[in-house]
Amino acid sequence: MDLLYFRLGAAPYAIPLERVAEVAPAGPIHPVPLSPPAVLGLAERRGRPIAVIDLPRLLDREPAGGTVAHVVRLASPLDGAALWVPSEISSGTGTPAEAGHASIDGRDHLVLDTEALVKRAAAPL
Amino acid sequence: MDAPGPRLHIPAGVHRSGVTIVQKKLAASFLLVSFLCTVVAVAVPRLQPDPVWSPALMVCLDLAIGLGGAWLVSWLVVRRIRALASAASVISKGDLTQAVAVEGADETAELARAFSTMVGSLLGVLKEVREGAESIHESARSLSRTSSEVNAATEGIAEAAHAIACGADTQADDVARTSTLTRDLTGSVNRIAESARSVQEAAEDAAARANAGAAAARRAAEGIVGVSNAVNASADAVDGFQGQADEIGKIVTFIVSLADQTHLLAINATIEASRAGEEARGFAVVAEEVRRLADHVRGFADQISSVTEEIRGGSHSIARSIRDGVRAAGEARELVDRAAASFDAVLDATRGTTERARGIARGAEEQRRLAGQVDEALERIVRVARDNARGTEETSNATLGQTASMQALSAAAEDLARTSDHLKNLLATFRLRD
Repeated sequence: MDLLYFRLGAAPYAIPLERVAEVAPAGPIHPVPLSPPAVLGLAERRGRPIAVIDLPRLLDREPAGGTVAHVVRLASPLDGAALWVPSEISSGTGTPAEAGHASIDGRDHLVLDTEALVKRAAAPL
Repeated sequence: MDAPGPRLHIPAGVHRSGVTIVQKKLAASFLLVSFLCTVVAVAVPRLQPDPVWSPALMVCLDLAIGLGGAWLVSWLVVRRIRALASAASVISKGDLTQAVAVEGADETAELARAFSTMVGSLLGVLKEVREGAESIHESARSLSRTSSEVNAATEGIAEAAHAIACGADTQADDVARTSTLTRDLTGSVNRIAESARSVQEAAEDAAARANAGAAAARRAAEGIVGVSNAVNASADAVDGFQGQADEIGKIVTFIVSLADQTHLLAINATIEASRAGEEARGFAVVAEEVRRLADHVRGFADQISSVTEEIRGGSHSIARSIRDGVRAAGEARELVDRAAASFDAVLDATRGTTERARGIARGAEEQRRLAGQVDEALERIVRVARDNARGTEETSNATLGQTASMQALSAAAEDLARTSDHLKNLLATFRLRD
């Protein structure tokens, strides 16, 4: 299976490639009042507004504090949302392991469920 | 009359022949006694007819007349002789003040007159003798006094001469000591001159060394300037190198950016390919290769970046070292300049020292010359003082000899004075009329 993978702090994560529409460098993000705490704000992509979800916060991970940050726009039907990933991102082929995990180049990654993530982010709403 | 012996001067008026006046007086007395006895023999029987008493009375009266006549005669003859005898007795005791009474014109009067004349002439002689003795006594006293004074003066002269001789000796010794001191002084002056010469040599040596040191310091300063220039050039070069490293950094950043973008484009291409299904499988493989290339590029760019950073850090430390070197060179330059100034000061000081040492040497030379002159003068003084001492000693000895003569003279004068005293005493037994 094809996966997009990255690290938050020391923890490796992966997202199935079919759940991803696009990876882009993080541009300006405009905060939105009264939005859930896990939502950083709105970003603009090809003329459309996208809600940017703070993934480290959602996963209770401290941001790495690096200079590199990306936004991962999700595939339809969640194509109005994007995940804010403050790290390098790569793509590759992984082998499914035990439930919710995959092995890429011999290393174990937690495969994220994008739908569950978006629901958790929107939950307080 | 012509018999040998003293000729007696017979005064005039002395009768040497015929009847003497004494005989005449004796005859007159006898006649008078005879006449009176005759008168008694005539007158008594007439006045006293008694046959008993008349002869008795006559005898008594004749006896009285006879005794009276005898007494008269003896009185007439003996009276003046007694007076003469008493005068002679007084004169024999030395009293010539007694005058001898001269009365009448008989032989006794003549004797008295002759006696008086004799006493007068004796008195004159004794007076002259007394005056002569007085004069001798005075002269002897005066001579004795004078000779004593001369003696004392001579002794004083002898003592003074001796003292002068001793003083001259002491002076000669002092001068000899002074001469020794002068020689010592000459020795120390010589040593001073030697020291001054060695100081001068040392100062000249120090001046030469200071000159060499100043030259070396100037050469060192020039060398430091060269080093400083070279180091400055290196600093400029390092600065340029840093600029080039910055350029490289910029380029690498640009390459990284390009690699990142390529990486993302490759990921997105993979996503698109997976969405396209099995037909886009080859496209996905190409996209994956592109992504790997981009990652390689990124890795190389990172390596370049780290190497450039290391170069930059190294060049930073080099630049810091160079700046330190430049500063150190500046400080060294200052130190060397200061050293050169110190050498110049030393040179000045040694020049002054050389001058002064030369002056000291000259002064010592002059002092040595003067000390030599002083030494010669002192030797002359010693010679003169010794001669003086010898002469004065001789004078003293001569004076002592003179003193002995004067003492003999004084003793003779004393003797004379004593003798004249004795004469005076003898004369004092005579009482003379003035």
